[in-house]
Amino acid sequence: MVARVTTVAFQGIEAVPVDVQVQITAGNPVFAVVGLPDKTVGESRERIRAALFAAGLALPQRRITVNLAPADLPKEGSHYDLPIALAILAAIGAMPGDQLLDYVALGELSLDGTIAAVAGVLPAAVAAAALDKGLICPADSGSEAAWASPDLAIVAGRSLVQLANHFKGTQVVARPTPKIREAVAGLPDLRDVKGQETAKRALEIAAAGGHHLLMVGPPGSGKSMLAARLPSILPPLEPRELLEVSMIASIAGELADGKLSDRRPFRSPHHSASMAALVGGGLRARPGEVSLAHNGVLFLDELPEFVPQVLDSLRQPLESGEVVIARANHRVSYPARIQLIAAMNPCRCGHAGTPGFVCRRGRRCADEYQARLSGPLLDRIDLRIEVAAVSAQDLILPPPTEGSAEVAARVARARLVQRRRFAALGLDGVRTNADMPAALVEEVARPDAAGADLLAAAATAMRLSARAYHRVLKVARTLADLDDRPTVGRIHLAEALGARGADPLSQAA
Amino acid sequence: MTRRDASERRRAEAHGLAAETWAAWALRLKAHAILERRFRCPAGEIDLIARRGRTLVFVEVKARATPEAALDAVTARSRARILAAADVWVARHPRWADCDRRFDVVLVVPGRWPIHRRDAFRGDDLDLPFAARR
Repeated sequence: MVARVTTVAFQGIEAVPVDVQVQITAGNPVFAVVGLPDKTVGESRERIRAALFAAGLALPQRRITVNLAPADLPKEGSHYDLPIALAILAAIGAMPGDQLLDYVALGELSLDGTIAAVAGVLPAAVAAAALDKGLICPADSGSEAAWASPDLAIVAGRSLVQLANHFKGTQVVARPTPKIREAVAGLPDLRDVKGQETAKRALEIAAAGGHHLLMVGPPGSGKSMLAARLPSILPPLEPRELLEVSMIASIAGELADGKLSDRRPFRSPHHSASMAALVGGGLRARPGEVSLAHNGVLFLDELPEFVPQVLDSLRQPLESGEVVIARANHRVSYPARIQLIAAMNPCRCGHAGTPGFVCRRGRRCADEYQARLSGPLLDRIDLRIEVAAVSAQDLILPPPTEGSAEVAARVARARLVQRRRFAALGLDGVRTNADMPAALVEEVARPDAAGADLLAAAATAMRLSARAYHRVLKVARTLADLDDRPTVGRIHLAEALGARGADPLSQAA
Repeated sequence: MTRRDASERRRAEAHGLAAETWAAWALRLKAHAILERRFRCPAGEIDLIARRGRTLVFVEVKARATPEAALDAVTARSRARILAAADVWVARHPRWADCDRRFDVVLVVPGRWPIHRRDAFRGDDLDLPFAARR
């Protein structure tokens, strides 16, 4: 007889159903796992043996063959312990096999028979709902699974014995409830930043339209401080975005306590980050920082200090909104629609362009430092601003009256205008001006006559690339949205062109 | 392993036989029916083959001065030979083909009752990393 339990294998944030088949036949007692298991899956035999022993059971003294079908799909991770153990229990009659057919199971077993939390429970729960089955998962991951669907039957057990009793009907495991992480009070507020009104305005535009932003300025001018305050003016995640963000966090094992948060992710990797850390990869093709920042902000401080190849690997995700990782036996894609915020010094000594300061190495100092950034990457950044050093007078001023709450309200209003516009056009995936396809820009962001003249003149004078041209229009559209104007005017274009800067780096230097 | 001359080997053989007799009686007292002693085939040897209910029990008997030394003497190589020989024996006795199979070790130590280790090893113990094998 063959006992079956369904589980999942992860490919990106997709959970592919995997059939665990267990056959127990006469023969020398051997416990064999086949179906391309990797080392962690092969080792599950020892954990299962110990967990069954802890539950007062022993493996039958017969040949046990476990097949993970489809057999040509590589199986990775520790979450196969529980489905294999359940299928064995069904095969030896310790659990009703027909009931288990209605569930998708995943979980890791400890030697004492308790079920340990695993990564990827949320995508598994979504897959289970799609298969019209219930979910058996670790107790610690239960609240995460509960988000998938209110009708999904979830059995989140602490141990094998508890699960066996639940299915026998002697003990009922209650359905877990979805938990949300409380909004973190005391996010850094924009009010803490004195002066820097231009930079604050740029931050507001970036937040409103989802535009990429580069801040260039001497050390101590508040670039990192400004970036850290961006989350406080971004609108909360919409339900669909929340699910996408949480699925990636779940695969990466970063959902603490199975609680979801509606704050936009803000990732700030150190500049020593490798390509695999940033775009994803490694042995299991895991999501990188750019995917973990999906629907949120990726902040790269000290931009030129990053390895140039690593930075250029961001070009494709910035354009397409997803990362495709191709490996010998995988082809995985993760969503990566991010807002890139970068900060850098104008040169190695950090003060090029500051009045009254001359680099010891002259112009070369700034030129060499800035040459580490590739043109194509810079071309993708809509807003490039200079953040000047803060003067002592600015610090003496009373704190600004306007804080994050007021800015956040304006940003939320502008985002609402955008969402309504793209919904009216029937564009499902587009939520911000920065995301809108080039074909649509001409239609949505058509400037008035005065604006068109200005743009034509600027395009020649500033030698704008085709992409830059469109990006200026997108930023102008965002500015018009902030003003709540239906058409893009000359004033909006002028500000957009100013915020882009001719070539911010040479200008800064 | 040191070389042993003929008389020494004969003495060891007699010692082993006596140990198997002790082990067989110990098993009989635990409701095992002894089916065969000293089964030999090209694949390997089995000291005792017994049956208890629907379970066939293949027993390796080891006589040493201490239980630890006796257990150490059951090497990965000898376990593999016992597993292979068990397949041969069952193939020759199809009547028992559908039974469970258990592999036990009985340690015979001077001055005490034979120590019976039930379910001492299984087929998949063999693919442990090499260093863990004995």
